[in-house]
Amino acid sequence: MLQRIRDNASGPLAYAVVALITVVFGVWGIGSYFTDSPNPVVATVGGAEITKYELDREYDMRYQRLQRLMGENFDHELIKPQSFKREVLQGLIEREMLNQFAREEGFRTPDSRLLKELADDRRFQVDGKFAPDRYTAMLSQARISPVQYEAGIRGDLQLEQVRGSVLESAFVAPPEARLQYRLENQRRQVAYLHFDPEAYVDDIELADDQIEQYFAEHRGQYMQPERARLAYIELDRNALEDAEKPDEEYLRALYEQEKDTRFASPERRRARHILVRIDEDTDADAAREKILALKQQLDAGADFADLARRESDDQTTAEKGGALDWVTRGSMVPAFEEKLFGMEEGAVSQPVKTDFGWHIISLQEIDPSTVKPFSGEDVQTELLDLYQSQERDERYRQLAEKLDSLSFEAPNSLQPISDELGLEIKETGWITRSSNAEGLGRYDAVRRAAFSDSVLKDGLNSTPVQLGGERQVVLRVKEHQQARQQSLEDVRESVRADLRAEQAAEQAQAAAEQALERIKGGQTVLEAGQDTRADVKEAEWVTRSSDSVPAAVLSGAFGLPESAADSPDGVTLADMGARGESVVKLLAVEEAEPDEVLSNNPTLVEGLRSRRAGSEYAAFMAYLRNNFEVEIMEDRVN
Amino acid sequence: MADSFNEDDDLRRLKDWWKQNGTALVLGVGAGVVAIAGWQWWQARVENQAYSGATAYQAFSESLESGAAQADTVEMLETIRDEFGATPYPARASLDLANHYVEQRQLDKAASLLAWVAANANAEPLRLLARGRQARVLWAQGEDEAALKLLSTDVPPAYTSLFREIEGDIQLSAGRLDQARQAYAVALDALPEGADAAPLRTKLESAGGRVPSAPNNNQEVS
Repeated sequence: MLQRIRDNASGPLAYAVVALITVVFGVWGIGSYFTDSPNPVVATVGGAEITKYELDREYDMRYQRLQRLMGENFDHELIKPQSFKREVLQGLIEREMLNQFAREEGFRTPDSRLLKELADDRRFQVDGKFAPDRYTAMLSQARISPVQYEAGIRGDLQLEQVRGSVLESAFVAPPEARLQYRLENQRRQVAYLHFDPEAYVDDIELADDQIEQYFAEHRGQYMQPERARLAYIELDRNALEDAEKPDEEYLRALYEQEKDTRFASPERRRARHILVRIDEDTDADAAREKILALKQQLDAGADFADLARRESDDQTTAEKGGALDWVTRGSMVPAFEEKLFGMEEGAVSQPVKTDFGWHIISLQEIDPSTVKPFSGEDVQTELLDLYQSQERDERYRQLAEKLDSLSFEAPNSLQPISDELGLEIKETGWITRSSNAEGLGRYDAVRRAAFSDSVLKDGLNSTPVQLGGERQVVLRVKEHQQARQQSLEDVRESVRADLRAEQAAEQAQAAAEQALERIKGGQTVLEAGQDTRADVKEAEWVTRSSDSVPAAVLSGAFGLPESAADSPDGVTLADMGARGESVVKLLAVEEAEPDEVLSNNPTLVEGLRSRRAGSEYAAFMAYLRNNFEVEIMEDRVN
Repeated sequence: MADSFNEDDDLRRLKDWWKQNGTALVLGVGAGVVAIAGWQWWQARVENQAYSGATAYQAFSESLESGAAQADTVEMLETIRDEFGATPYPARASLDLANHYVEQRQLDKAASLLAWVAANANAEPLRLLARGRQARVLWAQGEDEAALKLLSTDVPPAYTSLFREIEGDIQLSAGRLDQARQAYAVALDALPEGADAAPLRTKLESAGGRVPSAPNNNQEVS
């Protein structure tokens, strides 16, 4: 038989079979090289992969955190998605490098450390103690298995260990603190002349041809940006009118419905209890016998409070004779509650068993449930408010639904919407794409909608634009202007102001440079400042953190070498931006001599320590970056 | 079956082959199995070591924090060094203890611990970290020359800025402005991503250096 197969295993049929097999095995799966995988790899770090899914998830998390942090100030346009995504990716890459470093070097999280971490987590605590039940319940609620969760925590702690190796053992040596003290507290005496363009601007006379020439040279600055005026319909929940007052029957029904939650205070009971605790260390039978013995003593007439004080294992209440605070239903363990709310006032219960152990309860007092009557004035007011608020919600919801469908069904005009919903058509002033507008134009969402293709180019209504939870608008463009060159006549006054400011700045600059030369030539600051329009400051002692002189002056003063003090070289220009130019002269330098006490003040040492730790950590991370092979798939990141 | 003669023949050849090569094959497979088992045993041992090292370090760390038993803490460090040499914990514990000694102003002890880490830590970045710190402690002991010598050895680019800044600090404190200025300028130039440049600028300035103009700080949130 074998021979027959061998004989037949040649000829065209055999070749065909072999070819078929080759094709099937060789090419199978090759498609996956060409089609996009739904979760492509965006970067590899030393062989490990970071996927698009991980990147996007981290991105969303960071984005939302930022949103929460900034609250109302959050502006979508502040975040450039591309560079933000790069930053997030960089974070993931560094994390992965730390992870691999931790694994390879042998950083591990021992069980004891893991347990401590879990035990210290407030979310898993009941009454300040780790509660295993709560732990498992919370994890299953979040759909994470304990094994998975604990592996994650171990990983995080490993990473912390690597960071901690660098950061936690950073120190400050004595001479460093002294050096820092000297740097921070060295005092320098400066004199300066401040040449402010404001001092020159009033005297500048401009001829018309100067203005024309300036305008001709700077036409680009005088563009009117693209802008639009909008017509819109606004639906505002709080602007809806009150509904008609309902009849009493309706209010009474509402009252019945809301009575328990709004107008009733629930029954409360006050009790004492004695606890015989049961835990791993106690014998269940012994506990049972003890509670029965206690019960016998009570039956024989023992004072409950005394007995609780002596015998109860619930230490916080034992001191108070077993007294508990007022309780309502739902605040105690079920078995305890059932017993407590089934007792008569003044009675003492049979022993009850709960998770804590055996209890005997003595019911002291019952404060029965009370309900405010329907006719009460405050009840009436509250019912009416409630009714109006519900009505308004309902009408807002209905109107919003109509608004949504109408804006879509009749996209060419606001009139049908206005007629149908009884809302007037309003108009805005000019709005540009940038955010410095008044009124409706200050909302990003409005500007985005107004300058969208369908609204601006196709001339359609927008879909409803949400402005917070209770207000929305549908808008359309009423008038649109492309960006355009403004004529000199439109902007003559602002051209004049701009040219004057420029000339004033030039004059201030020139005056400052002249003064600089005169001081270098040997004049004092006072002499150089005479007959100029500069503000003169003759002598001022400053440290690096002073705010008694402008920041540019301070930086000029400390930028001069110490050796230049009180010499003709000890002078420099300080650029103060729109506020002109200053000439700064260094008069004297006074070293601060630190002693042991001064250079060891906690603020200085702590600041220095965290700064050193920061540099060491930056070096460490740079080392990892240089020693890991990292590849980023640029085209897949965004 | 016409093929039976052939099949007998095959069987005989197989037997011959087995006689010749059987022992080698069994030995080979055996060696392979032993190698795999050995590797796995070794892996498990390394893993175990790491966990035990971590636990020992944990105890050390708590002892150090409580500050109660000095001698005990040092003894625990010795144990970690002796028994868990393959883990990062000897280095980690030594760094922690060195920090403690600096705070206590026992600079000799700190210096020798840091010297140990600089020579013996398994990971190069931690050796470099310790070397920089050792230089700073030497400086604090008044041994400027020894400190500068330690800093002048070859260093990977990632650590250049850190080392040159320490050099600058030593020179500036000693009033050698030229050397300080040079060192700070290199440090500023080699500053790694994520490090704060402002303090270095201040130091460069006070060493009489011209600070290159600050980069634009008002970048958008991105």
